[in-house]
Amino acid sequence: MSTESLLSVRDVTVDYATGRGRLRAVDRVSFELGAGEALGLVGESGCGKSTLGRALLRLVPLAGGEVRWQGRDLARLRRDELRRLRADLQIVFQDPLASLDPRLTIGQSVAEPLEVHRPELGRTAVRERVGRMLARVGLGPELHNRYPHEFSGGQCQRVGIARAMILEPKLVVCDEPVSALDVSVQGQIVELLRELRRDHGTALVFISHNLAVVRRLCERVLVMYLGRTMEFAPSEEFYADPLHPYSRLLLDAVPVPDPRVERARPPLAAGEVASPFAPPSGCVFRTRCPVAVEACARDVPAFEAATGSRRVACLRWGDRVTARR
Amino acid sequence: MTYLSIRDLSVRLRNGPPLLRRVSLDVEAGEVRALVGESGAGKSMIGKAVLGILPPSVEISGGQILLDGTDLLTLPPKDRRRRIGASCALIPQDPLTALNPSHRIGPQITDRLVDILGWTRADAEARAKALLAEVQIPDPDRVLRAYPHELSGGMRQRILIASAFAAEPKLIVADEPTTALDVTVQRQVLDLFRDLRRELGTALVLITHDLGVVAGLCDRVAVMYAGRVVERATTDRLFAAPRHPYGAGLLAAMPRVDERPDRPLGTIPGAPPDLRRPPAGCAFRPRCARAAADCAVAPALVGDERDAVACHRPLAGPAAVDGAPGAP
Ligand SMILES: Nc1ncnc2c1ncn2[C@@H]1O[C@H](COP(=O)(O)OP(=O)(O)OP(=O)(O)O)[C@@H](O)[C@H]1O
Ligand code: SF4
Ligand SMILES: [Mg+2]
Repeated sequence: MSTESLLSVRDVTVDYATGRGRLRAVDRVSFELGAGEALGLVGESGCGKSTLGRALLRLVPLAGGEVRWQGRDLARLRRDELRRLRADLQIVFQDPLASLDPRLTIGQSVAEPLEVHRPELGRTAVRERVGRMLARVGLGPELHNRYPHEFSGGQCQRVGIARAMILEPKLVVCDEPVSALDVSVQGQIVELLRELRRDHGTALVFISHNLAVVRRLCERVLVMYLGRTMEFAPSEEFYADPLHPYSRLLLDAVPVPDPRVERARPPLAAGEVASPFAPPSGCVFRTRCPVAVEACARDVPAFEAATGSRRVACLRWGDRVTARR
Repeated sequence: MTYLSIRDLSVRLRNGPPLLRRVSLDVEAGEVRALVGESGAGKSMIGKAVLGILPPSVEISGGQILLDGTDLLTLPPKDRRRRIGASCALIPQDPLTALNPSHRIGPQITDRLVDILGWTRADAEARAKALLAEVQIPDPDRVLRAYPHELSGGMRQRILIASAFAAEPKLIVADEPTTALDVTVQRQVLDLFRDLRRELGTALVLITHDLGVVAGLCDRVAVMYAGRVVERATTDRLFAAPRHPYGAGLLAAMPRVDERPDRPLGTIPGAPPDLRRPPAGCAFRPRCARAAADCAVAPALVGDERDAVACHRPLAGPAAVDGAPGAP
């Protein structure tokens, strides 16, 4: 394992017990994240993004694999180490209002993590830090004594971010933090996250189905499909030249706010996601894959090193590369 | 030929504040017209007013809705309903709640054809089957007998689209038809609209907050803010040279998947206003970088159907479009 790696995820597997039997929501996912890096986690609804995000924070039990935090297996941390970890690892949820305690003013909400994790700080120090953090996310002192229900969705999301950032964590997992927001407000939050990363060097796992936002925010992208990883790549390489057929499908589907681009688009044969209770044999994507061959129904493609630091799970990614030369 | 003409339509909460203020816009036969804007701008309210499905808590306080020349608002309720039922259809945002979970799909498509339009059941069923095939639903026979929960979200939305097109209406109102969907399914739906429109010549009012969805599909756009139309434009003109600072701000705030993230995203400070307490003067004033003293008076929408703006200090208009090189 490389020394810089902050988070190292190995073969992480998560199962849910459901009325229809066992559901493998995350299936042997592996990736590494360096300090200060941002990873975008993308894929269609139900592919396991949120479940993986939760697994990183130990909010769901693993059925297999391990998550290493600065080299230490999360499952083996001592109690005091786990406490430290809770301060270093934060999460921001999609629904900003539901994730705040309605009985606390926003000032109290943001102060709470400090009170729990930094009891040595005096009241003045706490107040000062909270004021600075809230100012940082664009909420002035006149708002500190207000309650969440008095705020718009965008404002609540700012509070959620302030609360996650107040301990200066090393990693924040954001689960669809802008999906519920209006376009103009979404832009504000994306820029805010960009600035906070730049100023504090916080690493980010950014879960989103919005590939345009991920491109703005993340250096790396991990593509999931039916619980498995399809591609892991540096963003700019990924967006310029996706290697996996599923990555290509996702990118081709995103609408671009430009009439010339949109009108010139050929129709897309997107197909349907297979049932997670009966994932296809071989490559799980094969039922929708435009370049599938017979072997794809038989062999499970390994998530293997492709060019540079990229990884891809496709039997044919190499053919594609050759074919284009 | 103008098929739908909304003139000075005002809607308010009963005994409460206005939700729509003197909204005017035309939809030509066969045209795809977008209504864009953020939550609370009143987009859905327009669609509901046209289809006569406003919630009981709101009322129309003025204006006309001319459908093929007849003012719907002057018709007795029964005639109005019949007229709308015969020529208009709705595609709702949420495919899950729009289908009745305890009924099979088939009757949910065909009942309307039989009950409202007087088709025979056999004709209606044949039509439903053909339409499901058209929207690329495999095995239409099985799907017609299925219950909604047996189908994916994308299939359900395609069924609702098929169902809206079933009676070959002249006008369809689609309220955020792709917002709840994955990008892949969204793309299928957009492709489908494109085909159906070409084949059937149906006029479509597309309500959305996503300018990406507008770009490929719509002929003209009306931008809404706080219950008013603040800009009307052809799609090309809006994207090339938005004139209202709000429309311009929205475009600048849209991240593009096909663009390197070097340019910082444009931002619009603040949030859309609370319609119960609208700011005096131009509703966009508190968020507007161009605002000046005269903006304390609400600007009127000035221009024609293809090109109009409600702003005291609009950005350079279509003149700039002609001269502008196509931006990359
Ligand atoms: N608590 C749960 N119990 C049972 N199954 C679950 C539970 N949570 C999620 N699942 C299932 O696990 C799979 C992965 O779900 P998950 O929520 O992680 O996906 P996601 O990628 O976050 O989707 P979305 O984009 O819709 O948020 C799905 O098939 C989902 O139905
Ligand atoms: S392994 Fe086969 S089916 Fe899977 S993505 Fe590659 S070519 Fe397509
Ligand atoms: Mg999720």
